Amino acid sequence: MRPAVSPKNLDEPHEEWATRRSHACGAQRTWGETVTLKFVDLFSAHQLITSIRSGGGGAHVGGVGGVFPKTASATITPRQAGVAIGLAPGRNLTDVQIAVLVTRPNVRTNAFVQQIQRRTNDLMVDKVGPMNATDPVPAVRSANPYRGAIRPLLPGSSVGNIRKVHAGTLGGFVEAADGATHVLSNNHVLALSTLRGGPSTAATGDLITQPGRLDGGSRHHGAATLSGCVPLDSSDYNYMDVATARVPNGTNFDVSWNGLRVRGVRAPLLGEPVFKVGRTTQVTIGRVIATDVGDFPVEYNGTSVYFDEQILVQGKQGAVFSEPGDSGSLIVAATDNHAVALLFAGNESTKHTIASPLERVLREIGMSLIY
Amino acid sequence: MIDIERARIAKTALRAHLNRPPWLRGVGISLDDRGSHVIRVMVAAMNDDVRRTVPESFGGVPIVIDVVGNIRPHT
Repeated sequence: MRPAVSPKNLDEPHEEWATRRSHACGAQRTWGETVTLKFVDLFSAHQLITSIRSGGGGAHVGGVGGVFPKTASATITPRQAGVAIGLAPGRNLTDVQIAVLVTRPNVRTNAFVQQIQRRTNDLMVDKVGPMNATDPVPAVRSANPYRGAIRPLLPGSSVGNIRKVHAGTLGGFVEAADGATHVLSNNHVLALSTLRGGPSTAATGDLITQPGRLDGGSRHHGAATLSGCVPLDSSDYNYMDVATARVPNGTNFDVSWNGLRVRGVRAPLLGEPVFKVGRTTQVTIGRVIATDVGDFPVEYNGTSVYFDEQILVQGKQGAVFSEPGDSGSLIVAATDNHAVALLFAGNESTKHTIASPLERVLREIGMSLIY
Repeated sequence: MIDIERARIAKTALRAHLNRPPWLRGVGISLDDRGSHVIRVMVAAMNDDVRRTVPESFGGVPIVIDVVGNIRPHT
């Protein structure tokens, strides 16, 4: 058994927690905090939870020898306090934790949390600290983790424009000259194939959801707002299919690609091994089999758009490298973890993937990759 | 061995020569098994028109033909 933590740790003012949450998650997040308690057994934890939910005190917690005295302040229920309470796994198989989520900190919620803390005198306290993920984002269940709602935002995850039921991939994060952070993906993912001189398909400020609507995303999953794109041009050569979406200040995001950190940006090399993390096929590895590819037509909503100076990638040993939904993925050199290209099209039958060299993309949009 | 600059010059000339026929899906540069540069001609499907039009080499640079089908945005 671990030693009990000094009660003074539990008396930490909630205002300080609130301050920590502010730094951790920023203005776009709800407030959240956990109080985690270590119990001797699950039964005892259930009894305490039941007692707290009913607002009743005086419940005897079997197994740990604790008796909660009924006091005037012990009559607030979680619902009255505006908090959620439940059980969570502990660090060890025998540990159980109580998690208290405070969504609107105020006098009542603070009193409620303090009330629970007063009940912990006879219990082993494992830890008091902030929770990492308390975004106001409804969960989206999926066997493929990249199709779910992921916070902090993560490269490789599903993303899309709220106007359309579709999904592409959040390739990464870029920083503009003014210091603002933007999501990097494709025009046809974020800006719905905005065509130069064509009908309006998307507008600056459109809500970008994570995940995309095809994966259950909704207006409750807003992650960014469309900030710009390079329009596709059906009458001239194109060099990229790119768009960006501004991430609200203070939003937490991860800059690892399947746990790996990108170390820089450079030109793709002919024959080199690469990998990508995408919404559909997740992590795949392949090889750059052609560079300087021109006269390359891609069909966008019935319109042929020609590309120049692209690269062609094939999956390793005949495996597929990308499928629909992987558009927007960043392609990273496997030898030195440098980002080299932005994936945007392909043919899953012939297992070919086409991508734009990233250096030119970043030059065109005037932003730098965050890594 | 053919270096990449020579392959690029030949590729540019080949693109002008082909003049973007409907079956063409791109012209790029690749490496052969020996590490020498070649021109890669990508096509929607192999047919007589492709066989008749695409030479075995251009400007002294060998050509390989790759059937890639139709390329679509991956959403």
